Amino acid sequence: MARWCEERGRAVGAVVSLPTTWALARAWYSDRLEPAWRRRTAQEAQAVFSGLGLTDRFWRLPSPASPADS
Amino acid sequence: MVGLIVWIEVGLVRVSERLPLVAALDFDSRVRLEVYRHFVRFGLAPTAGDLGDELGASPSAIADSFERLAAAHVLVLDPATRGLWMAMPFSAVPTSFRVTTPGGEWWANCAWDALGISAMLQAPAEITATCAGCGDPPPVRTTGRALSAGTGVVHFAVPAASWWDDIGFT
Repeated sequence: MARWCEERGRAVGAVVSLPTTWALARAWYSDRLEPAWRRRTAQEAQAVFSGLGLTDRFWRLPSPASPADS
Repeated sequence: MVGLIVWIEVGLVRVSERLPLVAALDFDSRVRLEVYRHFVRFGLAPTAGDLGDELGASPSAIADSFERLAAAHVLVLDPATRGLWMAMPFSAVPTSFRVTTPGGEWWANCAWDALGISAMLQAPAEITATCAGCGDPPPVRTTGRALSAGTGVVHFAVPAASWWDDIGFT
């Protein structure tokens, strides 16, 4: 992955396994078609990341008060 | 840029038929919901005019709602046209990630979003990813509730705290 990034002139970010990305996709998007859907707060989003083991600095959100949903 | 090294296979039930009815939502929430329903139903982004009949509102009122939803990071608008660009995980424009189901096809904004379409629709699907540097990526399949096949990793280039600094790149 480091070489892949280097060839494209990009910094290496986070490399996540497919199963974890799938779990993140489910956690993030499974409620998106609900009429009463609302954006997660940063604190809620942080909890989603943490629950999947995404706990390093890359996944840290700035403020627990601001929405951070994708 | 969230890069994938894969594909996915998704099948679809009639998702639009099991979307719950809208009760007493505020206008912007109704617009948001209709944007998603339109994407699900037609595989394309609606214009403000497309939603007028559905919502009993003028195109300009819906365009204003698009702007508010974009300011709230619920939708992303094309910087030039102010039409829809993203209703995550859907993309209004072609990308490297295509999600195909028996009931429809969609563009996804990134690898995460490609998986997200499958997860959101909760139906089996197939996703193709194109990668100029990787050749043909190996297939990835889901049942809609679980991964059923696939290898590879996903590269998240932008730290979470900076996703909205340039959402088009993210």
